[in-house]
Amino acid sequence: MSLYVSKTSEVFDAIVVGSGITGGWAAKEFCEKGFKTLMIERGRVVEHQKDYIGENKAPWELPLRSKVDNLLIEQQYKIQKQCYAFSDTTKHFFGNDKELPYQTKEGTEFSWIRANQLGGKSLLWHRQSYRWSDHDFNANKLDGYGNDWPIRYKDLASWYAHVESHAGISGSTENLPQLPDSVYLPPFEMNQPEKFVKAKIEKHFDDRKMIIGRCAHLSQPEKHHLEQGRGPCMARNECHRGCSFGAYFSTQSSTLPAAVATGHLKIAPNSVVHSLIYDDKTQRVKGIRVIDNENLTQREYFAKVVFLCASTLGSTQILLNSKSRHFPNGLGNRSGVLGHYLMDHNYNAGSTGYIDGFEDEYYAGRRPTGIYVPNFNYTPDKSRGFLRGYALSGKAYRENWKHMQSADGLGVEFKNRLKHAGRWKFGLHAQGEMLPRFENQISLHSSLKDKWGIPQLEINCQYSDNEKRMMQSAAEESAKMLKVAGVKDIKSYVSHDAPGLAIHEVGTARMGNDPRESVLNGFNQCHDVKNLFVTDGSSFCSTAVQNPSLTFMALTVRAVDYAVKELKARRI
Amino acid sequence: MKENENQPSSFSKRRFVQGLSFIIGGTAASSLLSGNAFAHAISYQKSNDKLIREGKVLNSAEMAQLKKIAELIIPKTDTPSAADVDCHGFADNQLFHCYDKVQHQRIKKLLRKIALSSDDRFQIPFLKLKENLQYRLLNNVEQAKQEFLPEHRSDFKFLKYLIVFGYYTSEVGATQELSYQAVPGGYKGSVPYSEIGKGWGSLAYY
Repeated sequence: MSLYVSKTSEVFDAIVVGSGITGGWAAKEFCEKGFKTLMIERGRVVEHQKDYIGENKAPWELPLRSKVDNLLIEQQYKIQKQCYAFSDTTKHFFGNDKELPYQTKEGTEFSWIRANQLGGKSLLWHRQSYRWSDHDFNANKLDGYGNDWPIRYKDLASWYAHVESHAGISGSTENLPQLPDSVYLPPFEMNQPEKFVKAKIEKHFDDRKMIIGRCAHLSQPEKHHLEQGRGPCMARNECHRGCSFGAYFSTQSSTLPAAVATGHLKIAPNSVVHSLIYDDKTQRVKGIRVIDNENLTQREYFAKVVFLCASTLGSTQILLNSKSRHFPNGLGNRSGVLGHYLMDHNYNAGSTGYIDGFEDEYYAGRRPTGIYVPNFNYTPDKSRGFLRGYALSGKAYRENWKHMQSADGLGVEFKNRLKHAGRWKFGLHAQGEMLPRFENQISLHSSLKDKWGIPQLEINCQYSDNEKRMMQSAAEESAKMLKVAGVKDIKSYVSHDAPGLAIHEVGTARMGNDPRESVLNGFNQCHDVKNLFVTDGSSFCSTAVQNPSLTFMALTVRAVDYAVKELKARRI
Repeated sequence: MKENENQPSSFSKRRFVQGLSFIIGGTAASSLLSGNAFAHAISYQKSNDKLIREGKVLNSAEMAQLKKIAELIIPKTDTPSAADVDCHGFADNQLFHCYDKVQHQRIKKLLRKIALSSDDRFQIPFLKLKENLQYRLLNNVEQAKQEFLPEHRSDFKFLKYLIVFGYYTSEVGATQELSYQAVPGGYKGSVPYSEIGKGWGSLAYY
């Protein structure tokens, strides 16, 4: 029997909308609990290994040496090209902007990066994986921005461990109050200048640590990883092309094979969800209405429970477009907060410089992670001039021909200079928290639709003065840290890029204890519709400082566990 | 943009798409763009011809001049020169596909300026100049000296950027001039530089 379905009248136990990091986990967990599960994917099928068409290509084998043709960008990738991971070897994993229009409110900008295929952004993510702490879950309550998270660290701790063990997270034990340790595979090494900088920073600043970045890579796979068909990380750092070794966590490498192995999974690809089907009488969702991605015909799928894992903006767009007599402003939107409190991280500051010496030091391999300075502003302090905090990430590396591409010089002397590794460069770059604010929102455009007949999103999202003050501080503090480490020629920067490109968009269907001011309860269950769950980034009440994906995973497996118990108890 | 009407190897991509659209419809034609087939259809092939051909942006005289400049920037040592690995052909192809007409004109104007300067100063065409004079002239461009202005320096930096990019992403540049590891097999944080003896040619992002 085929894994893939198109039309079917089967009533599934669970429908999971989306196949990225969140959807993959939801499907795996449901399937392993014996639930007949239908995974809905709006785009095409991408098969592990076979469809990684950009992998294993040397630059000289690429017609434009990894650059992308102007005409193609103009026609299809005007927005997607802004993503750092966009190149000739990865472009097929990015959405076609021409077919995926959205609007931004006049005077605002938001870059919406799309990955509409099986595996979604799990193929393209940066793989940094950090637990949140109670400092993060408490933050809204302490300063009054946003609503209080309905959960605390203790609610998620065991679920973090559950996903970490399966996914494989590399990192070092640090015992930090603001950044709880994960279940780790061995950490990647720091290079010698990084060790030097770490020692200097930690000696000078009591409140600061520099650690190796925690990432979802099999630095040293365990037996159960090998049994999944995954192998050790080869340090190519070309992950976004897809990894046939399965060395980084993706739907294809990790959760999908586990779900498929149960025999309980079906996948409906090329199925663009138009809306959820709500039954007024039972006050439950019966299923979903989809438009075929290719031939634009409509079909429906049915299940006892629906999990929306369609990405932060994707899930909320579906809810907003699911209107009924009971829910004229979008399904589950009695509170009126659906679409509001959109957030992203802020990458707009940092410092770089050069480290003298270490001339006979080098490294081998391309490490797929960097170094990380955990948030040192995790306890509120009014004298700081801004609320919340930021982490810093970076690395030490030797400059190469690329950095000298336009340097002065000609002939043999120039060629010999470019042949050799240059000075050691080191940088620290901020990843700042963004406050939850009601006015940052998405809504359905009143008239414009996409080719599937779904109203386009209108995005209205801007950083506030708090974020700008925070970036100013990050620029100054990162420079101070480089200075104490003896870094030379320090250059700090504050930039003004709009939200979106961190690709950490969260919020718009937030959790909360109070149904009057939130869409979901503490188990990601819709307050108003008991058999509907939303477990992706849209459920977030704040951004914290950490990268969000590991928390998507933990929230999802916890929600599935809860939903299964509720279903068995016939409460939903 | 230069379009060569006769050579199938340098047909215009825009016309190709238009033609396809006519045959199979606009949506299907543009969806082909994302496929591998199209990339191969327009892919740049290294030219081994001794004869300098017209490029997609540059005419044959400009190509000959660019070839010489490529060789002067990255000459033959114990590894081939930039001209040996057809960096001039690469640069022309890259200009056509990845840069706009304004950038094309920057390169064409610069080449014209260098040619004129050689004629004026030495009464000899640039290609016939002795190598030391060619170097002196290019050095003047790079330093914005004598008849060369800061804008020429900046255009030369752009040209150099293309040649250098072409060289170190070529097989010769990445694997012979530099050290290349397609699959490193893991990361080591500390190895003596002297053991490797040259920079890595295998980078994660180009």
